[in-house]
Amino acid sequence: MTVDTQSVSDQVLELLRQPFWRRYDFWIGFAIGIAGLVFSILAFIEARKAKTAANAAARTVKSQTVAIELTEIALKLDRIKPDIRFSEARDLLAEISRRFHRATSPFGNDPGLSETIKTNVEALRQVRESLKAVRPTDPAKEGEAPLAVYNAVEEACSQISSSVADLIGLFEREAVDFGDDDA
Amino acid sequence: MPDPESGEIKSYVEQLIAATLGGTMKWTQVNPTTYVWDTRVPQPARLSLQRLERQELRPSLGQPIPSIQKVHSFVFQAFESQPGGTLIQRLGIASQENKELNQLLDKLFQTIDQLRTRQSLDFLKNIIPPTKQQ
Repeated sequence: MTVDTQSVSDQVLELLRQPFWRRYDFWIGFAIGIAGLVFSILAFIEARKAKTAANAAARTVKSQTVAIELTEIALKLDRIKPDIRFSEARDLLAEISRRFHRATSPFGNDPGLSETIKTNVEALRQVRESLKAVRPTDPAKEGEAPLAVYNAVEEACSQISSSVADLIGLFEREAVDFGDDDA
Repeated sequence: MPDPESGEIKSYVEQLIAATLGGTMKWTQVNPTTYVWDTRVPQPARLSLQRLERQELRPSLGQPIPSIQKVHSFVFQAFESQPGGTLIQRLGIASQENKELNQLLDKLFQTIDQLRTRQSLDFLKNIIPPTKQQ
């Protein structure tokens, strides 16, 4: 072993004997590592916030869509005419029922909406029962009691219309989001 | 539309019950809850009696919480029959707000219903072949 090699070896051994935290390059690496960790945590927090905001935005858009759908249902209910025939009322009710269930089913377990949704579902069930009570014995002679279908469903439809209006208000509130989180 | 409170309407309904029981008025069922009666004299006309059912929250005996009960009300209408089959409504009474009239129309409806059921049973009795025991 030459003198130079011995000298280098001694220097390496000297360096190895020294505690690592006394070395400046350790602290540079440590500082960079801590900064990286902090930025990672901040990025995670921001990503969580972004996800929450995206979910809230999606819910707002969905609420607006449902509010529009329910408004169309309410308008259809309000346009029932006295001369409505059984088959027309049956088709209208089937359409309203289908659209209502499709629009509100994602919110069926929502604590702020579920009760009003249930009230509407029950009202729809009642109007279906009322309609069954005027199913013509002979469809060809349905015209013999010209206002029978209207008499049977008008009050129930009016109640559903009011109840749907309540639900529209709740969905519009959801869309605007006056909740405590934003207060 | 006449005042549904008027005794005149109630008197007419009582006459309808008597005529139905007497067999001079033959009602036709157009759907499970509506009966109609047609006449040609003194002028073509049609009467219609429809039973409506709705649910109401009513206090129940011994219970602090009201319960949902089915309530019947009636719609009584009179139409003038025009040539060509057009019907023009001349009278329309809803008995929902008039308890006394509601009871009378309920009686008329039940009378019609019972008579029709009796006729149906008599028809059935007539067409069933006699058994050996008879």
